[in-house]
Amino acid sequence: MFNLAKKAFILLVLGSAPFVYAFSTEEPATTAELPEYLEERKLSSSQYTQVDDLRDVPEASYMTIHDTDEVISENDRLALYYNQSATTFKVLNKTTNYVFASHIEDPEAGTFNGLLSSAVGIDFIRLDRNYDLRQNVGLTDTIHTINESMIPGGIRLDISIGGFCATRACERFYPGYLDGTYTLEEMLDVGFTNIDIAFTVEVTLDETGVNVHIPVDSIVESSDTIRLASLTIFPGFGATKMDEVPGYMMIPDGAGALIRYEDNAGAFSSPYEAPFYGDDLGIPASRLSVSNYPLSLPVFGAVHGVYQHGFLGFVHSGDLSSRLVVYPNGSLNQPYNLMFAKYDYRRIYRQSFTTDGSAGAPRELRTLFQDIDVSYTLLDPADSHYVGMAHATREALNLSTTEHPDVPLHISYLMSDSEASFFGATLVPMTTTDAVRSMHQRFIDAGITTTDVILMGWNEGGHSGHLPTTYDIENSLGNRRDFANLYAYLNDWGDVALANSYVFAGEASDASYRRDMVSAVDRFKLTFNCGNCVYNETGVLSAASALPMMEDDLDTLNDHDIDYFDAYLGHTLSTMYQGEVIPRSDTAQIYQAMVESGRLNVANPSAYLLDALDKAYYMPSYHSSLEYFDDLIPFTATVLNRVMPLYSSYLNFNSIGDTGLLKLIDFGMFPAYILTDQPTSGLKNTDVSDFYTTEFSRWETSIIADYQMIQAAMLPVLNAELMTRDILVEGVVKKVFDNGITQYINYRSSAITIDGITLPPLSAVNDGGDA
Amino acid sequence: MIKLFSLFLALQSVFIGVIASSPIETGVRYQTFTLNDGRFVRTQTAYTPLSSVSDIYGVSLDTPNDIVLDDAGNIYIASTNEASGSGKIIRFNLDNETVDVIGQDFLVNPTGVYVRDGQIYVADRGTGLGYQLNPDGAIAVTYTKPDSPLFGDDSFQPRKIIADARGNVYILNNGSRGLAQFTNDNVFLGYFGTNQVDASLRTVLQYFFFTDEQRANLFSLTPPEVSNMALDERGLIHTVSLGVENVGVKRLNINGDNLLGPVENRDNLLDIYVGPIGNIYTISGDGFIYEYDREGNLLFAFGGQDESNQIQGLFNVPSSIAVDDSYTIYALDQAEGELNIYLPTAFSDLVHEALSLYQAGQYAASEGPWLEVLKQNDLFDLAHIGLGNAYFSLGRYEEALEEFDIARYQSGYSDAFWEVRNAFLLENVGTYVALFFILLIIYVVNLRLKFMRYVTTPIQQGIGWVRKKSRTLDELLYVFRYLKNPADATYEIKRKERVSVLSATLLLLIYFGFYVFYIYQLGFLFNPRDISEINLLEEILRIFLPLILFVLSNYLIGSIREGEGRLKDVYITTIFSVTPYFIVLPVLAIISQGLTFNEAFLIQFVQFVALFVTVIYFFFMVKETHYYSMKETLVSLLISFFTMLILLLGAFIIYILMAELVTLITDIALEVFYRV
Repeated sequence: MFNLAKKAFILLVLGSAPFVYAFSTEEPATTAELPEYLEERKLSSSQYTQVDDLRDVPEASYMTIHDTDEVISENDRLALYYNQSATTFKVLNKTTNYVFASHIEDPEAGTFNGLLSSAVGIDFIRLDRNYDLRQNVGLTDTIHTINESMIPGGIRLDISIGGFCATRACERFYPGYLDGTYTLEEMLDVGFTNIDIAFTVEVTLDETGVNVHIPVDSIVESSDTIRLASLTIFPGFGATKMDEVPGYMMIPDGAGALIRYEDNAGAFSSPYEAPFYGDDLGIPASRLSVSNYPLSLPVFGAVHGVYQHGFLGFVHSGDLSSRLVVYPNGSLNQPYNLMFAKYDYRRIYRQSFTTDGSAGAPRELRTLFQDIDVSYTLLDPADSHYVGMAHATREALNLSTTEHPDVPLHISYLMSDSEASFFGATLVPMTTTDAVRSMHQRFIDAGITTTDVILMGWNEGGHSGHLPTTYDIENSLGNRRDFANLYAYLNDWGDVALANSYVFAGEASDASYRRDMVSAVDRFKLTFNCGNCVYNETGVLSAASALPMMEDDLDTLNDHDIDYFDAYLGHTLSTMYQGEVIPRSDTAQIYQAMVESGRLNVANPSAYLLDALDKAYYMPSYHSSLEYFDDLIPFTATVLNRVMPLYSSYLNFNSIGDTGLLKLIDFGMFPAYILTDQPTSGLKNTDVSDFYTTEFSRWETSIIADYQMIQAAMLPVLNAELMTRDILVEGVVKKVFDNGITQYINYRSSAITIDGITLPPLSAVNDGGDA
Repeated sequence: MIKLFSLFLALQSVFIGVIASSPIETGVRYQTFTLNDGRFVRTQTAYTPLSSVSDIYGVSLDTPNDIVLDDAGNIYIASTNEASGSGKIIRFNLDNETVDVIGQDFLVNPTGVYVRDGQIYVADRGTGLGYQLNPDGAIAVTYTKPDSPLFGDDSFQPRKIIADARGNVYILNNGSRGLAQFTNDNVFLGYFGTNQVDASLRTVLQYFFFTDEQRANLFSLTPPEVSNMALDERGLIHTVSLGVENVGVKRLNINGDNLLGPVENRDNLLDIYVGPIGNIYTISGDGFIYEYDREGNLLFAFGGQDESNQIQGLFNVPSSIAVDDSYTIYALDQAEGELNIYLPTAFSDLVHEALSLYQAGQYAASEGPWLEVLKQNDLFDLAHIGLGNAYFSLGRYEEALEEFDIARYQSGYSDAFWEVRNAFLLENVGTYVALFFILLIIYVVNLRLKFMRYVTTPIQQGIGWVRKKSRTLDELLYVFRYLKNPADATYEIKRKERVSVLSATLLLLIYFGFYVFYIYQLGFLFNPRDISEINLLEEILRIFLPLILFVLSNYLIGSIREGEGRLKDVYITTIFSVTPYFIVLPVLAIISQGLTFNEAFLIQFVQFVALFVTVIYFFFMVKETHYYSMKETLVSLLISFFTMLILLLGAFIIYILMAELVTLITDIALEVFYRV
């Protein structure tokens, strides 16, 4: 009742005039204000979204349809063209007359010419050359045959690649080889590789764009010494040259990142490369991503002229063994901005023969077991922006939206952990059941009546080293009845979950080292050691063991309306070895089943889990801070906003002050904190000492004040759809929602007047609609 | 589980960073650390990087070598264009967005630049000259290779240059010699700030045993090389040196003595800069930036290396660092030809504000900012110390005590404890006086009436009864007889089997209990150990291993040197002889709880006496057990100690060989398994 009254009051108070939300400035003034010129540099850095270049795409940059391009499918909006001689595709947007192509015509990219002038490329492994990996071989580089057949909406190409010339001498001799002058042996001597790989590509058109399908069973490797490593589809799709076209490439790295089309003056020597859903821990390989966020969504996209032309690539299938490759101009000495996915059919890994890993040999492993299915959605001008891409992504994921009644506050209560002692480990109690209740009541009393709670360290022995565990409560924190009462109490204000672990297992957990812990594909146990920890060894739990373990655990919780929470399962996906290789796709299926129980919550979930989730924790609000990136954008959050509540990482560790809180409003994420009753210094000898500030008494006041400000700013747009998000001047964001409200976020430390509205320093302002 | 993120690092990437989707999200690809209990712990991000810059308003940075700021906010970068073999000084102002280039017509490889009073000082390694330039770039003074014999026979290749307020110019040439000091008009005065050679045990032994020729070639006798220098506002020179720990960062007085205490530093420091409130910033060869307060206490450590140059905020090959008045850090990456700019976060602004008040002695005013810093990081030692000092100055000693305890700041704790104890004593003085007089009266009355015998006699009788009933207890209590007369007691142990092995072992376990009590309960001020790091196995080895080794060695030596003691005798008497050392441990632990540093001598005195008595007992134990003369005892002891060393060495070698053998067999099995 109180809750309803409060909301009614807020709605009454919010008039039609712009409503300003600024954080209270309890913090003392700093010793040195950042000079304006440095603040300008900060706001124009890649940690903020930049002002768009709204110039039109020059007509000269438009790709044209040639006489050799033949229409093979069309609808009211689009037409698909096929060039038989080059085996390439173009798709024409009939409304805008803009063409996206699978390739680049007459590329000037040196060794990349072959790949970029093709619609399809391959990487292959030479088993007889110590597993040498030959990358970026375009179809036009190879000697191949193609059988074409028309299918509904498009064409089917049965491609059979015969050989490949790696040297100019080979190319010179090749016509002679064809007319019988030279033998195969002679050709092999001059760098000819007999590839003998065949596969089928189906390209079709629908109302939204182009779809490419490669049945995995169509891939045939006939050579004894050559293996297919990767397939590349449409390497030149959306490619631009240097800064000829205004616009950007969108990468779903962390919160989201843009690489703008500008002359990089050769600043980048290597491309951006990251596997979808993060690195595979189970395949010891030399190729590791420099990103620190896993790509949680299998998408990529580009805009040619903001609000003019754009596309979104979405990998529907094959995503579990594929990676995103982005070449900003200058990387690998080629002038194009490229982005495409590579689908890894096989991967090379290193098999160690010694315990210390000093000796070993390369091996290959098949990793792709799904058909490849990728769609290229062509965006309308109004959607040719990252917000439009986010909407298209949500549609491709088939996610439905729900109404949120209020802005929830997430609190993780850390109840206990353990520290080393003379004999083994001793429990460090931090928050008893009574303390959780009294702390929580303080928030309720302050009017925060929609909450979400995770209890950490509720189990015997504390949080670290003991997970996964059955429902075995730590008695020194409260007895079973105390815990049951606590759940019931917390349930009055929202959801409750207990932290557990089904991906990693601590050395004091219930998991058996022999039975439940898996090895990497090199058959060495997949464990991680921490030299100075209380619990030194952590292993990776077999997914096959994790599922029944979780089901048993949930059975014991049936009397309570509570869930489990796993901090890693949402974004960790590994190939495993347990008597046999268990591919990533099998692990993903089990994780899906676990999440579909409806009682396992996860952090920063990957696309294959989203369908079954109703909330997400630890959502990223940054990108991987790579030199390539020009902008930080709320892409992931925009995809999932209105689908489920998105909680930030713990704001206790936000070092950028009010800017960090404004980002929550800007990105549409809800605040999250971790708290203890006892002083944090108690944790200093535990394995969770990285939580260096958690004490409730230090945080209570600011959590309440910050929440109230965030709640007031977010409520009017809580269930509204974000339509556009533009940067008016550096550090000033304008967001327009479908309920008529315009929200301005001012990241600047000075006031500014925009659209006739004065935005105070570091503030959020809602205008229009029912704001 | 959080430390799992660190574990991932090794697997995921060679770069410094954190796995994302973390409950702790920083937005930067390095972790920021501070010190807690002398250990590195994570803290809030102190500085965030901007995108790196490879040209300044159209002027390429080429290979940037050194960076410095002047009072007007101008930034100077000395850089070299290796292709053209020329150098330049880039002077720019980010506020005014102006840039100009100085000296490109005569500089070849300028590796050092400094600005004072508008004059620009340049160290040009390419020409082998130092320059003082007017603001317009014209050469005012040239610093050349001195003729003075004091300079030595080094070639003159100036690497870095600074000038103090008195007009002295310091040029870094051969860092092992220190800084070459010149007058403003090129007169060489001598070397300043030379490091000293550490007289380690190894160098001492080398000095004694090496020939003159070998000694002359001893590389380790060269002092650590000074790698860079900076001046603070007071005109004090700061230096950084290569290859040294704890004294890698120095603040030199006019005599060249180091004014800083031990500093937590990396051993590959390349540059140093003194910031607005005397904060010291250093950068190391592997890209780590450390910020210290004015006294050399580490505030933040962050950064790292990324040879791929893909990650913002990390370096490939760093070369120099500078800091402006707003605590913005400017650092150069030589290999990438880039300037990296780091902006302070709200958190580090808070720390700087608190520190500024604290260093100005405004302890009370610093309370608020320190509390705010602690809200951001409760494991920040310096904040606890600052807050403790604030409380102390406000007379809130118990709160100060608590803060100093958390930070393990012994000196502050001692002062606060003295005040708390003093207050306690003053409050209870009446009770103590009354208690004293009551005890005095009891004592005097007892002298006449002997009524205490009604208490003592039953106790003595009880003990006698128990000794009769329990042989083990009787043997344990025999230790007091041993202490009174070790010679006779040893005789009885040897000849009359007075004490069993079991009782001696029990006694040893009791001593171990005393020891454990001591290491846990010794007062915080006198306890050098971090209780959380006490390890059962280590402590068992520390106590039992030397005893067992000695017993074994001494018995073996005794058996070949006509000693009388049997293994059993040596074992029992050795345990009995160390009684004085162990028996005082619990006493020390208890009395240390009430002492401050002012009374530290009490603890040291008791410890010394106990040790001295133990040595005497130990010596006579060996003498009596084996029935040796004084000289034979001494020889026996020396040989026993030597034998202990040999036994340890032997065990170690066997362990290593066995481990190698096991690895070899495992590796052969693995290779067969995986290859076949």
